[in-house]
Amino acid sequence: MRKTIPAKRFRFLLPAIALFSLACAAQTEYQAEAVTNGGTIKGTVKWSGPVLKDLSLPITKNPDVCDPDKLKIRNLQRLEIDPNGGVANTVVFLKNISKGKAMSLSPAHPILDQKNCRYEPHILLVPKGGNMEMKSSDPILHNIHMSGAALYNLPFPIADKVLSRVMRSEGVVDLKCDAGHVWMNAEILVVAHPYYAVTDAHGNFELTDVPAGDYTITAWHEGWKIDRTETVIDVDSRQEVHRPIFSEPKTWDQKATVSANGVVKVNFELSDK
Amino acid sequence: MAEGAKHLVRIGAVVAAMIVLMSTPCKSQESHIGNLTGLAKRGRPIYARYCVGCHGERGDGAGENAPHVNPQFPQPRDFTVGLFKCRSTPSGSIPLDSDLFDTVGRGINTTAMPSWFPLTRQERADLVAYIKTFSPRFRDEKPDPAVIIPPETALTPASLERGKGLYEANKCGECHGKDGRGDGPSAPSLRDNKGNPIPPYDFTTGERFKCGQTDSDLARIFLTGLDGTPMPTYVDYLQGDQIWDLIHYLRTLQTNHKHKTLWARLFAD
Repeated sequence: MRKTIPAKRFRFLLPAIALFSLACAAQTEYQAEAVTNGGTIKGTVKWSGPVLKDLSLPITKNPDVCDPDKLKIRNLQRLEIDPNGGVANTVVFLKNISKGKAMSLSPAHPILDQKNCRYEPHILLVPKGGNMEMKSSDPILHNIHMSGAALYNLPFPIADKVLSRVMRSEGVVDLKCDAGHVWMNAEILVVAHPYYAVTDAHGNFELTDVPAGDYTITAWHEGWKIDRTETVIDVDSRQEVHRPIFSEPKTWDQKATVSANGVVKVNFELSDK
Repeated sequence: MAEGAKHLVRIGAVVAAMIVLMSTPCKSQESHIGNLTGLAKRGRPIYARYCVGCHGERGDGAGENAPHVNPQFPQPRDFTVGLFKCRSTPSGSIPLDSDLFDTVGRGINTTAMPSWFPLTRQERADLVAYIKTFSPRFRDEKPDPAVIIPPETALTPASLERGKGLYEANKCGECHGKDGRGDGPSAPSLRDNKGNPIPPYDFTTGERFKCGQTDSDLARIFLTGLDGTPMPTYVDYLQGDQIWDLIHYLRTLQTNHKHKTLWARLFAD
């Protein structure tokens, strides 16, 4: 009879194999499943600290299109704080959730617009693997030059033409325009699950259909300080203009326990520290 | 065997298995150009001999000669970012091995990057394999298929006229200037991904582009864009014959352009 080698004898190799598979699939894919009796997490993101100075840049190019209200400057303040302290444009999400409702971010097929030399919206969530649609309402040349989790560089020479690209990798994508509009900037978050929300003008957010359980909930805000600037010469005015390079994003974590059909309130306080 | 020795053998086996398992998934240690296979371990000494001066030991473009490169022009490429100008793949994708191979052989016009055509094909393939080890993109991503360049159309006065219209409609002059002299209103504000000035191509200065010299090379540049620079992809705007209309027109701006030159024949290998 042939002698068989019992699998047990190679048991000692298991830790190596386990480590290897962990290294290969560092993050397990999010699994969509039906969520019944899901709970809700809602709350407000508020600013605590001194009021920040205004941050603006002169509009040095295409003022007829970029500056219809003749303000001559573009407000670049990334911390939008309402009179009650609510902070808009903060992304609030559940960290490390592996199972839950099917991907649905509203709007389902967001269009990023370039209007009056400004990206609208300024913060955009796009599902990983989803199509992102982009257009320009302006009759001048813009380009959407991405860096970070996507690296497309797309021109918009013709108004209202919609371009579309698949966003394959999860993460933050910075946008800039190379066509002389140095003040244009926006952030896209390519996300792997639907438990993400962007705070409204009053800092409010809501995450629904959350399966019961314990979670870490994170508030993410793009950097609001100017780290450094790139100096370039504006050809019309022959003056130096500066493209601001903003600081790294900041995050704040909290714990939340969600019970079936329950509503949990989670508030965040953002500050300069 | 004593129990202690057995234990040692087991630990040794675990370590060996981990080393083998963790080093195998790296396909990026190789390059494949036609039937040539390049190996990173053979590329390493070639890199240390010819490339390290500008591109640096870590491939980050910070070699000892880098500070001496004219600051008005693109600086040595930082390979760790994995962004490459000359590709046959769409904007945002890593290049094919053959794209990097072509760049090494061709050099990059208007920059300090010379042609490494004197190296053998095998040496260039080995260099490509080694260059790929600097960026995790080559491990984590797959290149998109190459763009498809439509068949060339006839050069006619009507095609030239259409090409001029396309140059205006697509606002090429915004950077490249009304007459293609690289002096458009946005030209002085252009920066590459490292924040260094990068002047737009001046069509009147010569016939070579950064990424080649033939009409097909020019068509490819329109369709892929030059990643890491402000030049975007026009794949969504130029369909079929329009690419050739634009090329026909742009060639009229290149006063010293000669068709099918010796250079093009050299690269027919």
